[in-house]
Amino acid sequence: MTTGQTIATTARLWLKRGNPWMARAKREVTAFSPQMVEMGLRELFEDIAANVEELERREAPRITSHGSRITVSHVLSGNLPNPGVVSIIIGLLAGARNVVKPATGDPVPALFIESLAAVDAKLAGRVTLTANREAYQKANVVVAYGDDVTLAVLRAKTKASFFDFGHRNSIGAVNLCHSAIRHPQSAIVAAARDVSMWDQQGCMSPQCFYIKGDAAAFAEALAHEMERFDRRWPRATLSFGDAAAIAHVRNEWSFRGRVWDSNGSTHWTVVLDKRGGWAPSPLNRFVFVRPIELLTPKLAKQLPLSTVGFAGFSLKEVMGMAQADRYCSLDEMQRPSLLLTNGSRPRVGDLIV
Amino acid sequence: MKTARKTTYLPAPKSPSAGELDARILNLIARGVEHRCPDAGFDSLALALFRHQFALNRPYRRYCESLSRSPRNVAHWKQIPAIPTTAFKNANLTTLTPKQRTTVFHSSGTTEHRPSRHFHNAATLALYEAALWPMFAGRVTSGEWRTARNCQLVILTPTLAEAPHSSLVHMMETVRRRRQAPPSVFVGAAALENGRALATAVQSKIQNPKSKVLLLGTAFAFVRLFDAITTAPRQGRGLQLPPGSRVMETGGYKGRTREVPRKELHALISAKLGVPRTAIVSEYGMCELSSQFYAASQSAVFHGPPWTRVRLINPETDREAREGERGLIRIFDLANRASVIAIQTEDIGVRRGDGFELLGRAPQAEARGCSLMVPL
Repeated sequence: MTTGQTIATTARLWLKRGNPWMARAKREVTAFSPQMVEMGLRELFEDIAANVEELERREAPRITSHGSRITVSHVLSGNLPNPGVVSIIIGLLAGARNVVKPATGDPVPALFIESLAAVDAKLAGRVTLTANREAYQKANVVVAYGDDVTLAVLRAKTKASFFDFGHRNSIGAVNLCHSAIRHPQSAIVAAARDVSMWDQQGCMSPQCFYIKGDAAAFAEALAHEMERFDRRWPRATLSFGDAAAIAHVRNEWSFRGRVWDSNGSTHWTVVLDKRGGWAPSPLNRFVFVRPIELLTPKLAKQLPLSTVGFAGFSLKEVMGMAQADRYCSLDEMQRPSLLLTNGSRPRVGDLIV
Repeated sequence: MKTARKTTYLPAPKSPSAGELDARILNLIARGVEHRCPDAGFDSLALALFRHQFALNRPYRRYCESLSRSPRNVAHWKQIPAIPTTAFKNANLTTLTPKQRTTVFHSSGTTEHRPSRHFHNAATLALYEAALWPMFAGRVTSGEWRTARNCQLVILTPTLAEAPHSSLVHMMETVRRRRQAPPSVFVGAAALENGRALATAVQSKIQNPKSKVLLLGTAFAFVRLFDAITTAPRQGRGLQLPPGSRVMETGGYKGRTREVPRKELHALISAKLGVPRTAIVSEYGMCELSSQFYAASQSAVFHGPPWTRVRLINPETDREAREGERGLIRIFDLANRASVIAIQTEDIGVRRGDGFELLGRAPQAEARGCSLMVPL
């Protein structure tokens, strides 16, 4: 079996009903509700099972025997489990030895390696987990995720090839005008999903939707859909500080704009702002809705954008509005394919070069 | 999701006049701070004030309406919508017409582009001054200090002329006048710029080294003073105040100096000024309020006057925190006649009986996770 085939087999194990790793992930991941963990990991492993062999095939021309002589250090952040798993897979496809420093309290990398060992112990042996924060210093290549300050420190301290993935924002753009969109309700359901997945913790999570058409109607409908999503896939229980941050921003915007929010909890919030340009969301399913006119060229230039999700606009129109690493349909914002080659992860061949 | 609440609609009561309300508030204040205001009395005046503010304070009315609240369905003071302090930056939250606004208090803070604005006129300033004095007298100058003669007042703030929009300085000026002290008791803005100048100014204000001192100041001024005392070799033993002296500290740091936790600050006051912990008092106030809260150094629990109520709100549930639990501090201040009586602060506290222990400022929506604030 090739590495890609082994990983695909492993991913299919995660998709089997009653597999022990998913059960443990649901129990041990405390940053998200068990329902959210299950859906998020299921989507991740569905994508891996479907695409990892294709990725291996595409990257084959760049994979050389040199790959087996390098050590890749993966320094993972705790906001989402997905990037860590994908990062390890890319290291394995490159043929490298992998040293993984997971975020404190994130059991998913360990569970993935355990499941890989059940398929191919030798391949799993190419991955070592460490709690040592300085382990990256012995690597040839460092792949690091996290906040900008941490990444700057790591970058300054290492002489290895360095791939870092820090802060970025994502937005949505929706054209609700009659002739532009065939199924506006589907776009709203998709928008609610894009905001709510992984409790908006990833850099591909939209923090604001810019609307052509009736922004207030979109905001209200989005609120309904976010509530429906929350009933089935509840948001995590927040710390006092995170809840206080949401309460503070809600209070402020209930005066400056119009707010729809979960009653008796901070589970989700939609703010309609018809005047502002950009304001940071406190995340945890807190999203702004603004008229498209507020997405000015100046703002678009200043925002470091990861993903723009869109509906009702053409790709050309959206690219004219804002420069981002990735453009996708609404509903796909939080489902980046393993075959994605821009922005959010290194390519297999990059590690070897 | 918020849906239409099942509410009982009452006929909208008439909004009482400002004069009528002032008379009731002053009457409550005149009973003193030891008089416990029964909940029924507080409720009656709070609802009258809410009707007045709902009728005349347009931004507040819009806010209440966005929450589907009005005098028709607010039947208890706890149901009165609390306005967030940040709203004072975005709107003129006042019942006063532009012509009636003779004074405005601004929030402090060096980095704020737009400060909070709390408007007053002669009548509401009279309320402000009437409300501040009984608590100050009862908590800071209680006991032997009530009748103390020959004590020296020193105030570590700018003068009223230098900071006409500071509610704290207005309070200090009121205290100065009530204690019949000369205007020179203020160290002034220039001295506050520099720790050594501040130490020299404080020493120069103490005319008689044997008569006790009442030293009032902001936490940041004390820290600046102590940093200077530490670095000045000739003042190595500190700036010992005469026996029997008292200290009141208030306010945060707002980035103007290093931050020192309250307990540590009080230890420094004791060590550097020779004032025992029993003679140190903390004050908690803000420009959006007309009343203040005080805590003795040892207890750390702040209490307000009888015309105030405090609720600690769980940010997750928006319900009142239980005894000993953390919550966001929400204050109902009946002396806030011309603005809004219910103020939602950004401060976190722990509920302790009818008071609160102050923990500090709630975290703001800063750049976190993958978000990044872009200065635009």
